[in-house]
Amino acid sequence: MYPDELALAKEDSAVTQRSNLESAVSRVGLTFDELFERYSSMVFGLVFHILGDREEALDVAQEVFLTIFCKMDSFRGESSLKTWIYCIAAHRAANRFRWWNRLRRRGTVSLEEHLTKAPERELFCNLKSDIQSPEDALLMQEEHAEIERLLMQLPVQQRIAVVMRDIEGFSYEEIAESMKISLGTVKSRIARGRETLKRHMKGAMS
Amino acid sequence: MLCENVIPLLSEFLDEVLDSDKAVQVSQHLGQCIRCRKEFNSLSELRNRLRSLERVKAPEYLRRLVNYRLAEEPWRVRVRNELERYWSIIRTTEAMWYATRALGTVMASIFFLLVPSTITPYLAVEAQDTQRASITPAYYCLGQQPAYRNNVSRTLTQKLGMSPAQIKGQPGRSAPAAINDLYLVEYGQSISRAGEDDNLSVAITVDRSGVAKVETVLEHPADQTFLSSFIGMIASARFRPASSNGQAVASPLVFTFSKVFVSAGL
Repeated sequence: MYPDELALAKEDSAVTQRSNLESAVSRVGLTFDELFERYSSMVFGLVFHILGDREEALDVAQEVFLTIFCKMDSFRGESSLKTWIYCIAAHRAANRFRWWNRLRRRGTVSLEEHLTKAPERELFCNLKSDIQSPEDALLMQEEHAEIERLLMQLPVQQRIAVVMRDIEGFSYEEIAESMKISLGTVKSRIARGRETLKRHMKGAMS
Repeated sequence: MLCENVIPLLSEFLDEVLDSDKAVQVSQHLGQCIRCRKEFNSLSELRNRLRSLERVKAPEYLRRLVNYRLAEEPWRVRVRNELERYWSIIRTTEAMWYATRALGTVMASIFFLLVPSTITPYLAVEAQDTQRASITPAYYCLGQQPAYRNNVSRTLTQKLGMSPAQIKGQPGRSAPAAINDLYLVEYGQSISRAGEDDNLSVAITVDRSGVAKVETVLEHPADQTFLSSFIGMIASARFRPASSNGQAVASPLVFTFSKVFVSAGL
């Protein structure tokens, strides 16, 4: 088979799968495009804050949407679509957060992250927004970087709970449903996570 | 309410998920206790800082990446997802990770122990005992008197624990040549260039794969290099194995060499 034919065959297969998916997604009243548009940034944001690495977040976000694609048939609407998607995202991210690989990669810097998060660029963006002085922008940027760094020191389960609650703005019930844990566990994880963060922040300031 | 009871509840109080009775108690306590109020304020400040973090937007090309992955064959996606899932379970659980490594090491050791034993040719020296009567002997004698050959044959059968009746045919006459004559010619030429006249008789065993091994030296030569070069030649040669009922079997073989020194002046 020639490369062009192969590409066409792949396109056909994608179209067939897409039509299967359309029927599955109709249960929740969204097409795959709409679903992607609505949840891609939220999923990517959650995964990024859990992993702290842009490339890995991209990789996991792809896996999440592929899993949604493959398991759409099994979605029965028992939980809300949002918590179902976040359940997949949180579990995928937690699985990806492997202790040994993190240790190995700690010393490396992502080029893309470096480029997109270059101080000048960040500063420029902030200057364009409502922040007035460059000093304030720089301070805020440093503070954000520090919070991100401290967040990465939390145990992964506590981090997921804190990120979902304080950054993504989930309710306790939604977190419990997404992580498939009890409400009590959610409360204790958030409390412990915040307590550790507070302690680390005090330590960093002193 | 005591401070140590209040502090664990501050997080829930901050999020307003504490039940009303406790919320009232915590609120009253915070009104009185400066230390707990300070804790509460720092917790509140932390939450504000976390909330101030920028929301990360997914890059534009994420959609293209997903589309590309969706275009792959579904079974491939499924298999890969499953493999990645199992692999991620292994790598995220420290105990599983070490158990897998240990298992891998054991499997590799077993593999490397098994492979040489399967590729080494099986030597059926013992197995052929039951079929000894039907073995076609691979027998080869060169340039000796019949009496001498019979003597060697007798010695060999005794050393191998066989009765003369078990050997079919007449030694040295009816047996097919089981060795490429070219080896013998080359060998004869190489050893005849130096030294004195000498005799050598050895009994060798040719296994099923045609590899020969010197079993016994029936007649030692005066020159030991004659013997060692012969052993080298035997080790490097490949024999056609003897056959029994159409199948290759191990068989004994006797070599008798007489070396005649050829003077350069002649």
